[in-house]
Amino acid sequence: MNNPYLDLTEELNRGRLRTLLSSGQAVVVHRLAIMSKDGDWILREDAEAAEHVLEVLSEHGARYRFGAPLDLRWLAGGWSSHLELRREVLRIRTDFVTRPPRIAPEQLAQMWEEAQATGDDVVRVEPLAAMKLTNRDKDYAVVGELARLMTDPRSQLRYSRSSRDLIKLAEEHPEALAEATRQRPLLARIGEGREALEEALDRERRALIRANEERLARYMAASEDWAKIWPEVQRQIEGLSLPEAHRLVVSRAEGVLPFEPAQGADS
Amino acid sequence: MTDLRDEFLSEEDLDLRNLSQDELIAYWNLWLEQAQATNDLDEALYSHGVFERDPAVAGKNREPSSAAPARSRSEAPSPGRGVPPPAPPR
Repeated sequence: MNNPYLDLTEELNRGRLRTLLSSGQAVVVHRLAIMSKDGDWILREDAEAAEHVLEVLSEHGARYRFGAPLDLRWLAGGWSSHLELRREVLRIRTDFVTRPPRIAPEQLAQMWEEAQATGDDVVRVEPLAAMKLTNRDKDYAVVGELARLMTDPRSQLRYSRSSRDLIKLAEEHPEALAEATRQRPLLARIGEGREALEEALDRERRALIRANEERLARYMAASEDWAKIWPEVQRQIEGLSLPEAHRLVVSRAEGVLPFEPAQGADS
Repeated sequence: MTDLRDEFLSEEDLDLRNLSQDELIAYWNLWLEQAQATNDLDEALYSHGVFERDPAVAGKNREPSSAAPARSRSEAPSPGRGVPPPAPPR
């Protein structure tokens, strides 16, 4: 039996691992919940990978949505590219980043190494949890359940959203707690009991939400000029093949959409 | 006595674990099909990445949380019944 996102991931990775299925569809593969109808992939940051993705999407008749060109100069600045195609009754949205948020460069390199070694082209639970620390409340429910799938108690301590789970983990793995507390200061409050810990969890969630909102605001500000001309660009690419549209989108974006947003944007 | 547990997702969501691979894919595909019902409502919106709204369709869409027709959990059959819940996507 086929699924459009699994099929597309297979095509994108034909002959070589180039993409990792991420976000909502990865959550389904981890059997937690079905919460999104759109697809999101981490793309390997090299020219061949980007060319192959455009080729596959072109075969499917995909079109550009507003976003950054699928070009490494922008993707390396943390931008996202967005395309859309139809598959029978389904509208399939395909979103790509090469620098997923809240993933450090060394962690990203490790993700690719592990995926290459295992042949698993779905983002694993720990980086997926990091990527899900967004500005949307519902994602924190997913992070809470993803933490329960983690096998390393240090990882569980870093991502758990449950005061009960954290207290239990601290009792069972005191050595892991010491290490995890350096990365997650709220763990120092475990000894103060559930109520204090729950307050700290709420505060942490609100801080993470604000941090992501600020990150998005920097990209939004940097894309204001691009947004202004996009309706015209979209009219120009209408009816063009994807390779032709891509060339035009790239040429229009040059000088209008900065490769990187203003300083301070994280990746 | 059973220990209480903090709940993040519903039993229906977590029931995905009990499906075979074929059942999971059938359920997933059916969910995606049903979710197409909100395509007009979220045409301008983004689920991922650093963009929030397509300026070419500005003013047409509202946030799905307020725009999508609300349906209660009771209307959402469990995965075991082979019909996907119509939870609003995004």
